[in-house]
Amino acid sequence: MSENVVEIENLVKYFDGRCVIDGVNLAVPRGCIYGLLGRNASGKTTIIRILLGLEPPTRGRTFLLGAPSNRLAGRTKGRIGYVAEGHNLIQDYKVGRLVKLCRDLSLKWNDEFFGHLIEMFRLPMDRKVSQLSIGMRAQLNLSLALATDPELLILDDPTLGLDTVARRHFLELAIEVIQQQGRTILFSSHILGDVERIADRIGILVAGKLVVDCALDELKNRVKKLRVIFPEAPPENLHLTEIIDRQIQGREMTLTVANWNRQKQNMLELFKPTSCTEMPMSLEDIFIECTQPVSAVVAPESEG
Amino acid sequence: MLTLIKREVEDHTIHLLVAAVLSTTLVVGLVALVRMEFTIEAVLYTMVLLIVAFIGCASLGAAQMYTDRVGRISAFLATLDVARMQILTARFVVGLLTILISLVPAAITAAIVLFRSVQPFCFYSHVVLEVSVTVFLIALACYCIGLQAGWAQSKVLTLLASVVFPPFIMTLVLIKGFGMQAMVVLAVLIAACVLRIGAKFLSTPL
Amino acid sequence: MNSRNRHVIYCVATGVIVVVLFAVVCFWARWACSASLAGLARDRAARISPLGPALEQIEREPNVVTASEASARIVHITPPIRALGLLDYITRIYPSTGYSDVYHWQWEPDGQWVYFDRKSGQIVYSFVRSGRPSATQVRQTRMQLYAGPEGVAERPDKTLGRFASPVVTPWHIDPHILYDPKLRRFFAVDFDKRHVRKGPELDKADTRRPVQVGPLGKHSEVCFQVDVVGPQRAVDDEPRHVPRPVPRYGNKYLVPAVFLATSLRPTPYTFVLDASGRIDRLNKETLEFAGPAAFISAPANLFGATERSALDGLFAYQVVPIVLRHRAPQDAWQYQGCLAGTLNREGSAISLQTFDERGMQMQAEQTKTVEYWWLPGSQGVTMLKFFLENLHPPVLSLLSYFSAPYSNAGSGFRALFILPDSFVAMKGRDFGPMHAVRFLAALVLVLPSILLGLCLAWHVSRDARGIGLSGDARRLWVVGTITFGLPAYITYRLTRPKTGLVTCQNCGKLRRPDMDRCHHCKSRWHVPELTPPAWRVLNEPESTAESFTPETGKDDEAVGKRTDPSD
Repeated sequence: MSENVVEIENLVKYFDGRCVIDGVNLAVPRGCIYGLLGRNASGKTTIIRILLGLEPPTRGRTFLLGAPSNRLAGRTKGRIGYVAEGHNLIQDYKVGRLVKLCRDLSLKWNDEFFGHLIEMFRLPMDRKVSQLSIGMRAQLNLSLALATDPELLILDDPTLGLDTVARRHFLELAIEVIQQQGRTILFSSHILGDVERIADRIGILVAGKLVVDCALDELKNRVKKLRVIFPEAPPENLHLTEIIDRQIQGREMTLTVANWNRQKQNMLELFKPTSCTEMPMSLEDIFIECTQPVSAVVAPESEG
Repeated sequence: MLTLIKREVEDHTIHLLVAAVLSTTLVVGLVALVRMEFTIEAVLYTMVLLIVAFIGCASLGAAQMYTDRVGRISAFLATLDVARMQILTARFVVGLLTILISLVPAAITAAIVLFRSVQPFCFYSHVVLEVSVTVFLIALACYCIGLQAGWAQSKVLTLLASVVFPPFIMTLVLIKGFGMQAMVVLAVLIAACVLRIGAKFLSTPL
Repeated sequence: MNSRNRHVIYCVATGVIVVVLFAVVCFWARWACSASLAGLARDRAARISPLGPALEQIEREPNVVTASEASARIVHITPPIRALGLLDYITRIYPSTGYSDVYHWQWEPDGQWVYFDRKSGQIVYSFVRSGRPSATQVRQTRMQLYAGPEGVAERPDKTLGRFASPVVTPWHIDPHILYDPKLRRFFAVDFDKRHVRKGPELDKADTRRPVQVGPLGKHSEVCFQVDVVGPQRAVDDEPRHVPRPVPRYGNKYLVPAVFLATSLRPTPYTFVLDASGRIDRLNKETLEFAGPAAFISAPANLFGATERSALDGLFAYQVVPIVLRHRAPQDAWQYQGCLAGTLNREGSAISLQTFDERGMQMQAEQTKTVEYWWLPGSQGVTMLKFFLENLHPPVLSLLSYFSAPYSNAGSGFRALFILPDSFVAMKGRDFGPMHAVRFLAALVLVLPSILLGLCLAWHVSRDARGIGLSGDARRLWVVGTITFGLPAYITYRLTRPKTGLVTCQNCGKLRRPDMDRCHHCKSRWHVPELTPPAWRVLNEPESTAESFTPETGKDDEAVGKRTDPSD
């Protein structure tokens, strides 16, 4: 069995002549919690829909649990739990009817666990889905996804509409799922604090490309924000590559660099800065630095 | 599969009820036809009922696909443990069931009425079969056209196609009669429609 | 099933749907033209007057003021309506039409019917017999009689023998004569006397194949009729015992100069029509042939051609005997000959022939095709019909040409795909010129269709190249469009890939985003509107690369970096 639960090979997607995804390669190993991040309209939901076979790719291939996305068998889909962005449920159904439908169509259904979730979220079974609040719909969607005891959980902004307490419950549930061996989660969210709490690996989409794809700890180690003070005005050309951002104020330069290493450190030291201090960054800070508009980013300079 | 069929039945119960009512009306019409001794009014009455039935079949197909597209029902079901082909097959089975509910009682009534009133029946049993099969195929063809029309983006286009195409298909009976030729043309048309719907449904973004 | 195969299925299925719906729409347009032309031609008739030597002596009498006249014309329902599939179907199942196995059916008062039971091979007569068991009681019992070649019985009996698809006179005509093609002899069935009379078996050398016995006609009375009026005499006194109103001739009254019957009932004969179109007289008593009576031939079509097989090529015909009786009631009726009127398959030409008592043709008359052309409105309708026929797929038009000699009359008015009544099919039945010349002429007739196909194919080829269809796909579409014309073009437009094209940065032309390389200049992709940063932070999941932290001063290995394929 392949170790990668999700595989994306050179994925390209165009909508009406507009490129949204431009050559994305991604592999999510078994047991991993992968946080897929990006700004609005960066293509996260598109990637997830292509993975699930809901949307055909323009070019490239995608695989889920070893099967091509455009030929997912019912049995394979039964091993996947999916929470869609906007919680696409059948609006005209009552909750009870929708639950019965999902239960009857599922290969595996954990009634006890589902009952526990319903009780926890206090979901009314006799109300129509369209009459539920956004938060309740999110809870219902999540409960339906988890009730099938899936090997792979795909969550597209699952906490959208949830209040703080419900979000905390969700995180706890996610952790509970994680603790079961062999479970994998692929999720996207705009609440980066939640992502930081549970994700192992992070992917960040910018301009149709996956510019970040590594472990969370690795990311924090490799993307550095430095405050460098020079004795005089900071030099125009630091001869550093992979500068994400650079701000100059007097003799002070704030530098955000990707893939910080000794070589880059030595290069900086050549300019004899008065001081060089690392500014700690949270995932949110890193995300903002990575996804800010291109015009604010310094053009790459040649090294040496 | 049974779950999907049950879901479709529950979602389109109104169509099944209308089919049952239409079936009853057709049965009453056929009995009246014999009592009225096949007058022109009786024949016209039955013809109008059949036209309504065929437009109803087209509208059933259109309603099934349109509500699916608007409510994104297949998009939800496709994420569960079902293949797209199963969703489409269940939909088709329910459409077929509706057509059979509306036509089979009428066909049986026609056979009984003919047996009791027109002798020798052995000469007309094949007529009952030919007419029943042809009418069934027309209804199925109208239903298949409706399924395709329901996938259109525009509500107006869906409605127009559901109302305009069935009379064209019905004229096949005027052109070819109720015999084998009409059945072959209708069967080919239905097969093409089914293949087209299948190919489109399996590849369309949900 | 991969997406390519699925697309092929989608295109083929769409094509079939388009061809069928297109055929239905064009059918009704062509049918409307045919019906208009038939309506315009309704008053045309082929006439012959006087009818010939049999009546010549009578017509020479001084008081005879109008000669005998015969006419053949279209009546009541025109051929395009009569030939529609539904009417044709109803005619075939309705009893007593000559097509159904139910020869006779009478609902009132008791319900009696006569039919041919194919299973037993016997003719069954079912009726109700009333009996009076007592003065006050009336008992009705349903009875059935079975007739086979060897006799009549009250129960089905194998010893009665079997008929095999007998050709039967209309049952209301007595005696009930039939011909059995397997036994090759005539029979007369009499259920009242419970007797079957056999005629002699036809000689082995006799090639006759009777297809109709008794009054001869096809679609007659309903659609086509031959009328005969005998010579009329002018008298001073108003005659009695004649139908009112009595026709006038000035201040005199017109009365028939001779008693003329148009039925063979008073004579000892009946007519037998052979598959070749030959008509013979059959003696009703001896059930033997009594000599030739006439022959049926089809009128020439638009190209002056006649049908290979007379009967198959006729939409309608009627044969009317001329039977005379001179004035005294005790005079016997005498067979003097007959008239044969025919209507061609397109319903556009009528012929009428007279034959004497020996079966020799005396006169023949045919409506002129050119008269048809000069009827007001017919030019426009004919051109429209020609135009509509050229919208038909060229391959089907050519198939119509090749299959034309083998099609039955009437089928053209209910044809969807192969058109036996089209101009090109008419040429296919023109057996005069050589094959090559005929075929060339047919190509000229479908030239507009071929030109349309070529024009549309060029357009399809250009568009397909523009949207990057493969060479094979393009060739298939071009061949398909040339072969199937407008329906293929419509199918192409419906199934054409709807991918939004994108401007290629290399050549500036529109290219398909779902192809790895530009189908014009073969360059790879470059998406300038997306400006991703140059840096990447990528790491394989198993990687053990370490990073460098400035504050710790940790001396780490260089970080592993996965190559971005776009670099």
